[in-house]
Amino acid sequence: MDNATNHAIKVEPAFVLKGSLFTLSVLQLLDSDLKKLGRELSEKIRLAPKFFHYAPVVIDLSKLALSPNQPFDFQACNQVLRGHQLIPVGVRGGSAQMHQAAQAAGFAVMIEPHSNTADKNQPNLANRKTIENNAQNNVQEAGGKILKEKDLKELKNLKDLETGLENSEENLNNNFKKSGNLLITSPIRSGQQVYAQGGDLVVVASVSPGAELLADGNIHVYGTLRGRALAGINGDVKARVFCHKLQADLVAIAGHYKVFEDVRADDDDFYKQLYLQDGQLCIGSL
Amino acid sequence: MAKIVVITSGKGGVGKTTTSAAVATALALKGHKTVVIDFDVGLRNLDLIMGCERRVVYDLINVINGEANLTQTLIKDKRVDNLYVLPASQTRDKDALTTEGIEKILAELSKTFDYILCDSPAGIERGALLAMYFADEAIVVTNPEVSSVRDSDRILGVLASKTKRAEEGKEKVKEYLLLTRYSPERVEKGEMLSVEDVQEILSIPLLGIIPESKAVLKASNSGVPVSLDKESDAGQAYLDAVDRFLGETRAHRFINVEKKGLLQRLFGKKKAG
Repeated sequence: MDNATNHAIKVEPAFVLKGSLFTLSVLQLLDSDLKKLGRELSEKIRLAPKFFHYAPVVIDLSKLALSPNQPFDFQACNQVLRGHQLIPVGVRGGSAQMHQAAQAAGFAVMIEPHSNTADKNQPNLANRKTIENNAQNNVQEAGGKILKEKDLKELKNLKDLETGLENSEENLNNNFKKSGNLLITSPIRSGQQVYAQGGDLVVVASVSPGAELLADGNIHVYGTLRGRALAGINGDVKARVFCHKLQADLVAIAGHYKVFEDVRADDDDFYKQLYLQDGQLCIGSL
Repeated sequence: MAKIVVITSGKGGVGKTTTSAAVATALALKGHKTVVIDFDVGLRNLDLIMGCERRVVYDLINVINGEANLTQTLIKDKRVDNLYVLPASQTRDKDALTTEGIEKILAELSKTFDYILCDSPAGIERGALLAMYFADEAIVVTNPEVSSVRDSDRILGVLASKTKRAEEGKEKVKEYLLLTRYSPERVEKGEMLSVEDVQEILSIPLLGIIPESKAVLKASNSGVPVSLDKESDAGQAYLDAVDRFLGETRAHRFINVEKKGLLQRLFGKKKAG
């Protein structure tokens, strides 16, 4: 085989592996009685037919009080869930034995993110105040550009908030760190999303309606904040949102959100911060 | 080397084609060799506004497909020297547009023209994306109206990310705001967004304010670009805008409510300017 032919043949790959970040609902099993589970799920669906809407869920086994030799039928559990519009993707919180059994039945065993106090407050399906984020793709390419793909889908709230957002590229020639704080100095336009992974997001400009800001840490807007701001998206309840002028449609901290339906009086909006207190989103002055 | 300028907006019906025709004409009147390209494949309008619809033999898609060359396709304007039109196809659709095809056409036009204006279709799909992809500068046409402002904002986001300059990390596309269909009376009454309101949201340099004018409809119907109607307010506003585009300073006119004098009120005449 000579080098000439080697160069001539170019094979296109069948797939590419990418890193992603997903936030999923957790179904915490309290009782191993699958028939009971099935009945309760059916009741939920009877009251609200689209309640589950084929949501991907992680099954939390930590509260299942099973005697050591009592097996849990993961296959049957899978059937019950799928039969009620839930798509189980994995398990967590069980013993090593349980995890093995789960894997044999086709479940993934979820790797826990680094724990903080917020984990204990992970919203369960009954918490109506939480928005779940799906499919976050964050790829850094040469030249400092971020390619972001994001689909925001609200699962639990009975209002149907389904926004499809397309690809958005942010050309960052300035101050970009792969995991850490993110500084943006040009206006963020309608339809753009910015995600500060692992840190704070600082915007020295205004944010247009229809734009979305996300951060694992705090969000600071030295300008007018319109659109949406979601801080502490990985569960950091201490995250805050700061802005010069608050005209946002929606602000969320660690999943707890507030929609600003009424047009607020103009002079009331300057220099505001938003934070969580006892699970409630509060607005204070700076 | 030609400057490639896209005239875009996001929202439909705000005045992109009117602006493309008016600006191209004004540039040509100033002695710059200008070509204006219609990217609205299937729903072409530019030829109507430029008054050359009966002279279209070949179109943009013919050139991309190699069925005709540029010399055969370009239509020379009969009234103004230095002005050429590259019409779109009426029968094909936007799938016929390709990036490589457009790149080749722009490269060839760049050799002889000073300004290449790309009249974008509405929306953010293929036609609009291709019209802006190779742009050096952009004129974002906006009506002082909430949905138009929102769509223009969206287009600014797309200009910052989906153009060749953005992808190659070059100096970004220079953006200008052109506010059209402005009515100072309605702004004063609080019915219409003011220039300041729009600028607060869009934050890009203001190229010009074109007043709501009957002259625009007259111009389209007769196939005469409105900047040739030098008596009209809109025509003058476009000429001012192009002067600013070329680097000169011009005060913004037609933005204040005219106080009608007694004679004017009696005889109902409205002065332009």
